[in-house]
Amino acid sequence: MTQNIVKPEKKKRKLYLIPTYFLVICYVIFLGFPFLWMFATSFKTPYELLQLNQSLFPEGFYLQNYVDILEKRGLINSAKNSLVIAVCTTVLTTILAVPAGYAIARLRKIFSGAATGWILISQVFPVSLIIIPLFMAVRRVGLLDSIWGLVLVYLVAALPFALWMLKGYVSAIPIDLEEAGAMDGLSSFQILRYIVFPLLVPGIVATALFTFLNSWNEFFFALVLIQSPESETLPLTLARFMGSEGQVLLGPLAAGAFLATIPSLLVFGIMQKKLASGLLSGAVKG
Amino acid sequence: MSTVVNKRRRRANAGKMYNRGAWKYAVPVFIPLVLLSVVPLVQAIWTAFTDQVAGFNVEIKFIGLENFRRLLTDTMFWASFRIGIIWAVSVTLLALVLGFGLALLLNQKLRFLGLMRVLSLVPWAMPPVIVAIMWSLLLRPTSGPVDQIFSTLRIPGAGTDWLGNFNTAFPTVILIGAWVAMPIITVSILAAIQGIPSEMIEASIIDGANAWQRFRYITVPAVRAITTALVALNIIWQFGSFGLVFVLTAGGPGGKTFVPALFAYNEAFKYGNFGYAASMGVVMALAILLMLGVYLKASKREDVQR
Amino acid sequence: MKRVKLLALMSACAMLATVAVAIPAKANSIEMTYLTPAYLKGTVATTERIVADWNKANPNATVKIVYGDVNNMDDKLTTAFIGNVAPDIFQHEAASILPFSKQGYLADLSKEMRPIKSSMPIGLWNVGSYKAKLYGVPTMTQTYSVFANVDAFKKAGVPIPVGTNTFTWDDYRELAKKFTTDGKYGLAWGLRSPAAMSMIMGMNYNAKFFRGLTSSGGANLSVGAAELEVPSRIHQMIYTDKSIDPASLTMTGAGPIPGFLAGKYAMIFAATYIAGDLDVAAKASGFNWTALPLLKGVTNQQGANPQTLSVSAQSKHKKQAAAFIRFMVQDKNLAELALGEGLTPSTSGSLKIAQETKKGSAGWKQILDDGDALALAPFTLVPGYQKWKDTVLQPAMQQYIQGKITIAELKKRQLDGWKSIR
Repeated sequence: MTQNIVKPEKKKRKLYLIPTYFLVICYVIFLGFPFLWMFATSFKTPYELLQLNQSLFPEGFYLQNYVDILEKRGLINSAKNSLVIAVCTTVLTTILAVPAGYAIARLRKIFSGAATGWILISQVFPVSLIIIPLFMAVRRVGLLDSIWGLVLVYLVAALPFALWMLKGYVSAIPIDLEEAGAMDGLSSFQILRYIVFPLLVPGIVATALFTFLNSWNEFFFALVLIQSPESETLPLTLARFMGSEGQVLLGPLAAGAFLATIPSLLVFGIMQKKLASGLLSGAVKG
Repeated sequence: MSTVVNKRRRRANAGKMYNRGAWKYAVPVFIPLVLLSVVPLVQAIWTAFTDQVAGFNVEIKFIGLENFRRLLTDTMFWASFRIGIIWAVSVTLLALVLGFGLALLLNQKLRFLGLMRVLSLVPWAMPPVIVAIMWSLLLRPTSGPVDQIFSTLRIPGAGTDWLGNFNTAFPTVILIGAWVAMPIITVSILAAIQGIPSEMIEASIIDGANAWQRFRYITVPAVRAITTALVALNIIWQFGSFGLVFVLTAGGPGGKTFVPALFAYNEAFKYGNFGYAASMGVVMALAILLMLGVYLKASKREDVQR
Repeated sequence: MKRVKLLALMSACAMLATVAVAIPAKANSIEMTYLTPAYLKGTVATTERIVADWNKANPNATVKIVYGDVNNMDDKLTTAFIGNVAPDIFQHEAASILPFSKQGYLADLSKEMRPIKSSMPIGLWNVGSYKAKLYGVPTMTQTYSVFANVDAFKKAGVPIPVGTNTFTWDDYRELAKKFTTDGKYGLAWGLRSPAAMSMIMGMNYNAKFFRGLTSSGGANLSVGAAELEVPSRIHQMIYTDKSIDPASLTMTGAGPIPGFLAGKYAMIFAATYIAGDLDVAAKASGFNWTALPLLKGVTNQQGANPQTLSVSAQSKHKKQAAAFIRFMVQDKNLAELALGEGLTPSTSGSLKIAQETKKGSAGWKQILDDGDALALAPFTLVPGYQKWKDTVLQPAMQQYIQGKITIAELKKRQLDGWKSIR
């Protein structure tokens, strides 16, 4: 779609590029600097990290931080758990939320209002106060200390957001398109599959991204529901580099956090690119 | 825009005509929701009407509105409550402005777009445990990189301990909160913009609409529903969260950043007063519902008027 | 409803998987869990070594380590207790296990630990106890000390205070003034969260804070000269003497370390756990540090909040769990654990080993020699004290230290706050 925007008015365009690129630079610094700093930190020795004036460039490539986190603290195992949890949660959430989100958007006002109301109510109570009854519920279904228990909890945590967002994306799709489909004799499932779904792909990706990252990074539920080291997730492993009163093992923590950040950045960087170039929706349409 | 009104009316009729079967798509969602959302929620609300405290085999008594009566005069909770409202609203609005701007930029044809797309996800992809630690390092007074940049460029404010100073701590924490909240807004709004059927844009160009008109009459309506949802959900999440504030300032200095979620958390897990903490949760939930009810109604009215 | 079936199937599979895992390996042997917030490299290695030794010697009652996050021990334990899935043994700190002791979640260890009672300062033993029952075995403790840059002292020709019970708050003030010259501050003090420190140091002046601990009406807060002595001395050093770097006032406890290592100040005030960082610098660049004797007002006593080992009341293997704790606190093990954390071990035997190990370091020698100045801080027993400390004292002290309120106002806020909490 991007290529459709502003083809005439070439002169005007050049002029407005200056403030645009200024904004781009501001955003790049604001978003990227903390990440860059974390990356640099992951190569610093404990002594370097105690120094007063720190540089963005470490004195050398001190790889011990990476060795520590990979060898000693089971980062690989917890990354595996987190990956399984995040992928399962994302798939389940998408399968459940896409049809339901469509339903809520296209239903009569009263249902749609009730659904929105429930979504709100289920989210407004502070998580830390729900945790004890939730803990008991998970224990009752026998999924305590299991990554499948976490999948279920994250699914429930992600659904309200996913439903509401998808409802929003559906309601932005002009209903005329669906009517045209109905006139062509398509069933309601076919309308969903061939007309609504392709237009919904960017929204689905955004929602999936949300679900994936939230389950990948979630800490509090995992802390309470997981007991044994074998079922530990990434954020739990990373939290083990922190002591009391703000003391941290900064080097290994930064190394672990960097490794934990990279996969999701890569995957979704690629997805975003494909989305923007229309490849993804095109593939579905074809 | 009479065509829009027409369209809306038609849409409502059409909905009645052939979408009657749509409800069945919503059914599978309700099973896990009831099991792990409704049941715990009802239990948590019930706790607010009891005297439950932490303890081995302690008896739990129903005490009606006693917790709420006590809460009414708890000045410290209400001070923290006020901070929580300011926190939730400011973080959301700031993140919305920054995120919307970024989404518009990402939809342009620019250089370094790939880099920008990846970077726009950084605050979200970085594990939350390290986000607060990184920011406190960056903002370290006199020797942190932010301070060094400030003093090199002679920007006023060099030498300030942004997170320790009474005047700057709260705004700084809000800015960092917005940094964390941005990606979800950027990504969701960008998706809404990308979901606009290209036929619509082409038609408007043929009709002779300029960039501003296209923004006003195509982009804004397309992102309206998503923005409403994002604002509402963000306010809820921010009001109920304290992890970031806890690591950055622990509620200080002088209680300036003591958000109510931290207050309720301490009451439950540090002091063991589950009943009393739950009553705080109920009050917080009601306040948010009230606020959002007004907001959603207003945004709906605006929607209809257009 | 395909999706419903899928979900049900998934849950069923998951449940089967959990059941399969839960079947014990051998019929006669037991496995206990040990939850520890250990996170430093050395401590983790030591803990693993000790547990491996134990498992070798006790193949029928093995221990499995579970690492916890020190900042979330309270929520983790609270939910585990309620859900009846608590670890058999866990390490936490005395002030935080007190509520659990009162709530009945912990096993009384007095009998099992009687053999080591005589080897521990009675003050420490009491901190781990509630109503004459021992719920947490004190293992190691931090103290608040003044750390000095030895080279800076040498350069200025100032002798370094030594001995025990010799270094007064007045001496401290004089030293800080002496080193405050040509734009340099003599002292840095990370006072971002000053409440706990000011109460613990208050014991130097016999600050009691609460009276009538045993009266039926509950404890009463009283704030007098003794309670205000430490805050007002800090205030004088900041605002009258101007000998504390104002930039350090909003730092965390360990925040001034980089400046200290860079030679910005001759002294810093901090908890002893920072000794580990100072050792890193000593090894890397020859930084020459020492600790001064514990500060003395009327006494040099400080309130102790030791690390503790506890057994859950829910544990099915209390006997074996207690035996494991006895194994952990054997002199050699405890000394190694404590030194790894930069803390003082609690038993006399382990203290001796630690002193022997660290005899080459003047700073460590001073820290370890002062180990017996720790006592039960009576205020920790007052119900509601923690809430008062967090929500009243903390913000009021922060304002006082940043010069926003007077000492009279500080006192008034403390008293008013206590009234509103009760």
